[in-house]
Amino acid sequence: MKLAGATTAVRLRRLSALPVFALIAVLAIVLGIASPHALSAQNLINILNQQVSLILVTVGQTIVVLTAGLDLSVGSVVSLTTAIASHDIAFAVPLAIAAALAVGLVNAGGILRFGIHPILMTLSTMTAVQGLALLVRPIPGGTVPGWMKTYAGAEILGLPLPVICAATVVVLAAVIISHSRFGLHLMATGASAQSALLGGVNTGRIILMAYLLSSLFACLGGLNLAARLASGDPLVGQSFGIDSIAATALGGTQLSGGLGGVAGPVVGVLFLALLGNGLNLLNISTYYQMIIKGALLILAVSAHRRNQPGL
Amino acid sequence: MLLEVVDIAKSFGPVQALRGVSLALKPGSVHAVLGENGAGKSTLMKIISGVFPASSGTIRIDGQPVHWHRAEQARAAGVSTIFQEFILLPNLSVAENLFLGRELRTPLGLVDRRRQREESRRILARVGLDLDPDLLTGRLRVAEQQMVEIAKGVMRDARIFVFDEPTAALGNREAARLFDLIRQLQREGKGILYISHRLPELFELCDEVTVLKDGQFAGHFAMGETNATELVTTMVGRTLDQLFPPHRTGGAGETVLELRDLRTPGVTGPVNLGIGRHEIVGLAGLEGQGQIGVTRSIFEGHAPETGEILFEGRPLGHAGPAGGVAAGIGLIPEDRKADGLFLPLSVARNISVGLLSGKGLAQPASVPADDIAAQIGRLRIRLRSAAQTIGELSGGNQQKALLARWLVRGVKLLICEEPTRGVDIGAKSEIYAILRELADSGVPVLITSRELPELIGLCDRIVVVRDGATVGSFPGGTTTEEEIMAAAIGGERT
Repeated sequence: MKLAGATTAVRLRRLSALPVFALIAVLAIVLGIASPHALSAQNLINILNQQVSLILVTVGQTIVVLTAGLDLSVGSVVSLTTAIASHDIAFAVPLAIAAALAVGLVNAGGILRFGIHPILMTLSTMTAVQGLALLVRPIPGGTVPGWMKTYAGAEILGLPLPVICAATVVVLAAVIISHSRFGLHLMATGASAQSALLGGVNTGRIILMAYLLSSLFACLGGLNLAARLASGDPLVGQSFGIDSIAATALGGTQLSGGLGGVAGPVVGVLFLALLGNGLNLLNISTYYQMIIKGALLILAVSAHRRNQPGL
Repeated sequence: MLLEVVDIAKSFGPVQALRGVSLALKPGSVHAVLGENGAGKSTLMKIISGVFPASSGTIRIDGQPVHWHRAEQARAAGVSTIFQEFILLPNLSVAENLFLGRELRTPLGLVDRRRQREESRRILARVGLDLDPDLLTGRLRVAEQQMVEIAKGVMRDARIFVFDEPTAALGNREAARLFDLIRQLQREGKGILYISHRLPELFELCDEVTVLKDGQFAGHFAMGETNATELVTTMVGRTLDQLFPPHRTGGAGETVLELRDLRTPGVTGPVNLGIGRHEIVGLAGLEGQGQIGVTRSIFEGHAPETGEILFEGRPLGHAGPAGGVAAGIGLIPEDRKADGLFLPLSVARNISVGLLSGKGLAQPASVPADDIAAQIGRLRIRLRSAAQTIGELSGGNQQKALLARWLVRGVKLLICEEPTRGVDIGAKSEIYAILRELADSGVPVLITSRELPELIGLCDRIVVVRDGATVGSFPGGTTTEEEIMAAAIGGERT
C-alpha cells in the first residue's frame, strides 16, 4: 500500500492524458500499415517542425485552462505578433512581446477586477486584437530580422532548432506545472478559487500569471511562425485559439480546471497533426478530414469524461 | 485570556449582521456559540478567522489587538478554522493540502514532495488518522476530510480552533471520534470555539456557551449551570417542548404506501415498510445504510428485483423522478442546494417548478402569483419579495420554499430527506408543524434524519435501516435514542 500509494495523486493527474496516448498509438499503427511513408523519420520531423507554434500556444492555453479559465485571444496574439515582428523597425520583437503581455494584462484585469467570464473577456480581446493586427499590417508581407530566418532554418544533429527550442520549453513548463508551488497553486485555484484563497493561495496573482503566460506563449508561437514564414500575416493565427483548446481538452486537461498537465495537450497537438498528415497521405478529401477530426475529438474527450477526483 | 472579542459590529451594506457582540475564550476550554441561523454565528466566526474584517470593535489575542483582512493573517496568528464548507481541494493530495500556501521546497525551489509526505504522516498520526498522504482528498470521506482540516491546524500549531457545525455531515460514530479529538486539543490547552445547532452535543462537549440572537449578544452561561430549556428560550424566546407538534392522536388511516420484501438496484433489502394516511414515518440508521436508497426507489420508481412497492394499493409503475411526481409523490432531497434548488432563480420560479412538471414543453411557464403568495404566507417564508433569488434566503426559508413547491402542486405522499438540515431552530419547529399538518390532512410523510431527537419528537413511527434492510420499527415519542441506536448498530451494543 505504501509503495503503491506513493504517487497516487500525481499518477492520477498523468493518467488523465492516457486516452490520447492510446489513440495516438492506434493511429500510428493504422497509418504505418496504410502508408509506410507516414512514419518515416523525415515526415515525423516535418510534422513536429510545423507544429512548434501550436505546441507553444497550447502550453499557454493549458496553463489558463488549469485555472478553470479559457483564452480565446491567443490566435489574435499570434497574428499580431507576426504583424509587428515583420515590420522593419528597431525593437520589433521586444515590442511584439510587450504587446502580447499587455493583452494578457487586460484579460486578467477584466476577469479579476470586473468579474467578466473568461470566455467573454478573451472573446472581446480576441476581436480587438485581431483588429489591431489588421491595422498594423493590413495584408500579408514584410520581412523579419535576419536572425529569425537563421533560427527557422537552423538544425542541430539533424533536428530543426525550433523543435529543440519547443521541446526545451515544454519540458520546463511541465516541470514547473507539476513540481513548483506555482503549478500546485494553479491546480488549487482551478479546483476552487474560493477554497484556494481561504487556504492561503494568492489566487489573483496566480490568475494574472496564467493569462500573462498564455499571452507570452502565444507570442512565442507567433514569433516562431513569423520566422518560418519570414513575413507577417494578420490572419495567420485565426485557428490557433480553437485548435489549442481542442488539443488541451484532447490531452486530458479538464476544462473545468484543476486537473491535467502539459504533456497531454502537447501530445494532443501531435495527434491532430499526425491525423491530418496521415489523412492527406491517404488522399482523403479535406471535407471528410474535418468530419473525422470532429468525431475523433468527441470520442477522445468522452473517454476521459469521468476522470475527476472523487469519482 | 486567549481570545477576546469586544463589541464587534459588522454590516453588509444596509444589513446589520452583528451588533455589540463580545466573547472571551479561555485556553483549554470549549466555548459553544449558539444561535439560530441568521443570528450571526457564522459572520462572527468569519471575522475571527479573518475572512473579512469587522466594521467596528476589537479582537485581542493574549491581550494584543489584531487587525485581519485575510484568512492567512488569522492563520498565522494561530487561529485555525474548520469551515462548514470544506476548503480542502479535491484535486490535490492530502499532503499537498496540508502544506498549501506554505510548501516545503528543495534547494532548487521545487516542491519537496518527499519531505511533505513524511511530515504529513507524522501530523496525521497526531490526530489519530491513518491515511496515505498521497491520496487525493476528493477520495476521502467527509469525516476524514474534516480530520485533515484539523490536522492542518495542528500542523500550524494553532492555539485557537474554530469549528463551524462540524457534525452536520457526520454519523454518530464519526462524531464521537471528532469529540475525542476536540477533547485532546482541549487538554493541550487550545481554545476551541464550537458552533452547533445540536444541543445534546453542546452539553456533552462544551464548558461554556455564548448565545446570539438577531446579531446581538443574548447571554453567556457556564454549561454546567444551564439547561436546554434555558438555552432555547434565550435563543428563540420559546421553550423546547414547543419545538415538536404533538404526535398523532387518531388512527394511522389506511395504508397509502407499502414496501414488501423490497429489493431494487439501490436497495440491498429486504425492506418492509408501510405508511398510513395520517402518519409521519422516519427512517433511522447510521450514515449511508441505505435510507436514501429507499426514498429514491420510491420516488424514482425503481423496478423491484424482488418484492413490490404498492402505492394506494397498486404497484408503482413509473420510472424516473418525473413519473414519481406524476404519481403524486413529492421529494425534498437531502442535498438541498445541489438537488433541490435552482439557486440563481427566483423564489417564485423555484416554487412554480412543482406545477410545471408534467405540462407540455410548449405551455407557458406562467407563475401563479396568488397561489405562490398564499404558500409563502402560509409557510411564513421570510423574504423581501417572491422575485428574490432563492440563493439569498436562509437555509430554513429555502427548505420552506421546497415544501411550498409540493404544497402548491398538491401531493399524495411527501418524502423529506433530512427535513431540517442546516435549518435554525425557529424554522425547524415551523417545518415540523407543517409536516404534521400535512399528515393530519391526509398526506403521509416519510422522512430520513440523522438527528435521533428529531425522529423521536416528530415521527409516529421510526423504522431502522441497517445494511440496506429494515431491521426494526419503534413508536415515536416513547422510544429512546438508545433503543434506536442499538437496532441501527446491530449485534454490538454501545
